[in-house]
Amino acid sequence: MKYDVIVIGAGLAGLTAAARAREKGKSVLLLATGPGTVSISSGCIDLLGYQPGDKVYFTPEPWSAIGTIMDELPRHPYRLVGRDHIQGALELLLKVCRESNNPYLAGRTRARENFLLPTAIGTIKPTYLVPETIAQGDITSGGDVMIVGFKELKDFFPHYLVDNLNATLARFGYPGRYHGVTIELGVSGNRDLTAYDLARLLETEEWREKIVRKILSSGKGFTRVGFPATLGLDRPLEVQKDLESRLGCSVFEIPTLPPSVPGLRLYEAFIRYLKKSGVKLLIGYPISKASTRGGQCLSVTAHLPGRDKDFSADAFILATGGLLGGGLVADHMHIRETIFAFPVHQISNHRNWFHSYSLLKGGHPLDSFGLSVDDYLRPISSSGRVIMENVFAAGEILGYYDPYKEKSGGGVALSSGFKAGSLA
Amino acid sequence: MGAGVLWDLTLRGVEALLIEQGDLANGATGRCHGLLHSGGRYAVTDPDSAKECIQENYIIRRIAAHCVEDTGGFFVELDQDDPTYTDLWVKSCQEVGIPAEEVSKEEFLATEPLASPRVRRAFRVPDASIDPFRLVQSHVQSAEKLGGRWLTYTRVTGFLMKNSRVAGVEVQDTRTGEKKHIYCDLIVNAAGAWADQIGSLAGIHIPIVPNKGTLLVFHHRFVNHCLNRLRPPSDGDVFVPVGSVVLLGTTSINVPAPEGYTIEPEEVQKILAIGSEMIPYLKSARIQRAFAGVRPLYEPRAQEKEGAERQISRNFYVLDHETADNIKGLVSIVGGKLTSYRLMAEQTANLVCAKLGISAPCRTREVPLPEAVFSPARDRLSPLQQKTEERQGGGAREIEKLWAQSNSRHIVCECELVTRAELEHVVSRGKPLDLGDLRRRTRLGLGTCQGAFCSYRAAALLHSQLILPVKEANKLLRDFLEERWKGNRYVLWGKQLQELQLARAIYGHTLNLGQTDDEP
Repeated sequence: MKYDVIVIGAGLAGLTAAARAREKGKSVLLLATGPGTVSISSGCIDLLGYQPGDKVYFTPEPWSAIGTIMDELPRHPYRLVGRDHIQGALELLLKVCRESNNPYLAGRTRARENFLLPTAIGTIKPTYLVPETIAQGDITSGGDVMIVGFKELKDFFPHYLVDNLNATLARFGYPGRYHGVTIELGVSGNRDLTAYDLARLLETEEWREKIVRKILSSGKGFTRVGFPATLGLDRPLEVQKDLESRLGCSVFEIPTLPPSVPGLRLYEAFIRYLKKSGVKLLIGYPISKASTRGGQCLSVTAHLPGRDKDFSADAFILATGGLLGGGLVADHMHIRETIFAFPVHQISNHRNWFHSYSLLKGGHPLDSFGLSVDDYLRPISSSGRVIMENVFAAGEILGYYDPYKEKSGGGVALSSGFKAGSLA
Repeated sequence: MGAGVLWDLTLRGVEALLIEQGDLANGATGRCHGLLHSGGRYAVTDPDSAKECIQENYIIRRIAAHCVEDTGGFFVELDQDDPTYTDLWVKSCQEVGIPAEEVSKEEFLATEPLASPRVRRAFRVPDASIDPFRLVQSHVQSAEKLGGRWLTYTRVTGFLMKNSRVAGVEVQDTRTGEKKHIYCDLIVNAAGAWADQIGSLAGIHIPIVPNKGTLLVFHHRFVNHCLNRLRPPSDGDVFVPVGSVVLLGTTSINVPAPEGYTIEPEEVQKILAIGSEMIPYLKSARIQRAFAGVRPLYEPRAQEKEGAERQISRNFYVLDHETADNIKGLVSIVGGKLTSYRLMAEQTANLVCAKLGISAPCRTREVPLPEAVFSPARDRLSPLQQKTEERQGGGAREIEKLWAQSNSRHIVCECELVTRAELEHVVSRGKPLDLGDLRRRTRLGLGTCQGAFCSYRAAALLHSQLILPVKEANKLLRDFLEERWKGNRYVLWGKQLQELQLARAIYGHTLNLGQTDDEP
């Protein structure tokens, strides 16, 4: 069978593109090697956390900074995508998550400012699209806040977090005082307890009651209580509300290292939404190559168990990710695109990718390597010629922006996926 | 080297103190191949060294069995190599007593299936791999049990002179900046590439040529034996399987100073080009990191050579500064290689004892390091127990007891199977530690993910367990990540680059670390 649209990649860009193309009435097949990087992400989607060029202060609201980008950086994906598609993408995301009982908020206030959320290490993260269970952690709320950790959970350290966070708040002049407490669940097993395991426990009333009793015995009178992001897998809002009524104050989550429960929830929300809306999913099989003729892609080949199978469509959306997602692969001299061998904007020679940079501070030339595309997100050659009329690219595979420095990766994936899905 | 001298002197009943400017094995020892030479590499060019190697090889296997993995080795001739060199090599091995048994090409390829089919001849030799970090730790810990003492992160800043005799040293704690005086009868300068800097504190010039060698660490163990090329010693032609990885190197470039050197991309390319002649597969193999160390080559001019007290071989020298420079109470040991460390320590201690009027003989040849003992039922231990025992020796029993507590069995580093209890055990031994020290003692962060998950956990644990101030814990975390980065940025492509991007997603996005200079 021939589809209207085949989307390759199950990260935020691919999932959004598939949802959007289906919304436009297309028959859609989503092919992917595996779950995309959204499943290991914090579950919060950044739009723009830091203005390009400004290393020090996060940007309080992303929109005027995005406007500046559109004016000044002609090849930046936000310029190519445009405001309307960014707005449309936000609305689609809100709808997908609402239908999964995991509602998101877009922007902190009516002024559409960034949320300022505490991280698991006690820094502040400016971000924009946030699950309601996480949003209440915004640091501008202040108050006396208790951060709860669990002795059995090895990836969350409340005391380390609050020591850092209190220092950060003082430095930026934000109100509030944070306190840490570690409680012991008394569970044991043959392997370490992960955030995922804990989320399963917290889905049961019995464990919530047990945990609340321990928290209350270690202190009372807090305005908010923060947990590692483990408030259940499927119905986080219910778990949050139940804990709030038992504790008598508001409750929020803080994203953790992978396995990241909010990341998994977001991935699952999309999968449920796509299945319900009739998108065909084939996830778990590597896509090896494409057949093309006369500037058109005819089909792509997936490596199924024991055989290769071709899937054809009128249009294709390439959302296979960057170096982390696997859409781009590097050897010691070059970076290449894995399915179509599209030219990758890069500085050749590995020597120039890294050498004088700090790992943490970023600004690596490598981060803005990726595909060059036209205004319709179709990959172009160095002379500006469209290579395949019916192939659109979206997400981290795009070049000319720095997701690490700008904290714009989520927003670019979402909005470019949305636009590609609209055009395909 | 210093650890070997400490152990030798302590065994003879001499009260001795080891002073190290960094962590243990900070110099060339911790930055070498970890090859316990059969001597084959030197058989043609330096038969004296070759003889020392084979003799010491057998001794070290006995006294430090827990640090040696008997991989065995091969010397391999490819079809582009000069066959007359092989004949010369075989003859030289016979002369110095290195057992080199020729195996057929088919037999060799069966045991090293990734080797190039262009192999012409292969000879089996008793090379082995040795863990230099454990070796050094075992020496100081064994000496400590007998009253020997050691200080790390302590730099010698001056000699305390009395007439023309060295009566002690002024040292400075490199972390606190605190200075103090330590008095003694005699000083051994075993500072390797830093030996000249130490000598200069007494106004002596010791002609050390720091010579950089770069090595690549591959992500998995794709050879089973130490592999050498049958040709005059050259760059990039020795493979050493160590634990779960393979080391390949090395280059040889003189550098102005033992610190501040960098790895050049051309070195990496050269090592890969030469190494892939023997193992073509390695061009596509995943590389974890590159590192470099500095060999302390000793190159005296002719007249200086005559001043050397004893010339044991062209490999290393024990310098008596009393006869050479008219400074009493100072002895230097220079040159040498890891395989001959014990012999070097023996010769040094002989001179020290002669000067101090002590007649106790050297016993390091016979006395095994107390930690060279494994559980009798090692085969029945779990992989976690085995790994812990490999790293902590007898301490593993105490660690296992801690595992009964709910969170002590948490695996902090999944790649190398390091439990929280093992970290706490190492930390509780009382020395000031940073994450780098923990890494060397436990292999934390040395595996596949290169610290992506464990760095955060370990910093947080140090903060909560040691009540380490949060700023220091943050600094440790940042330094640790940047240090890992220093090693792997030279070889970042393929899967390892993808792995790094995961680490950057965790620290850069989820934890939002590194945005500002003054963040906590």
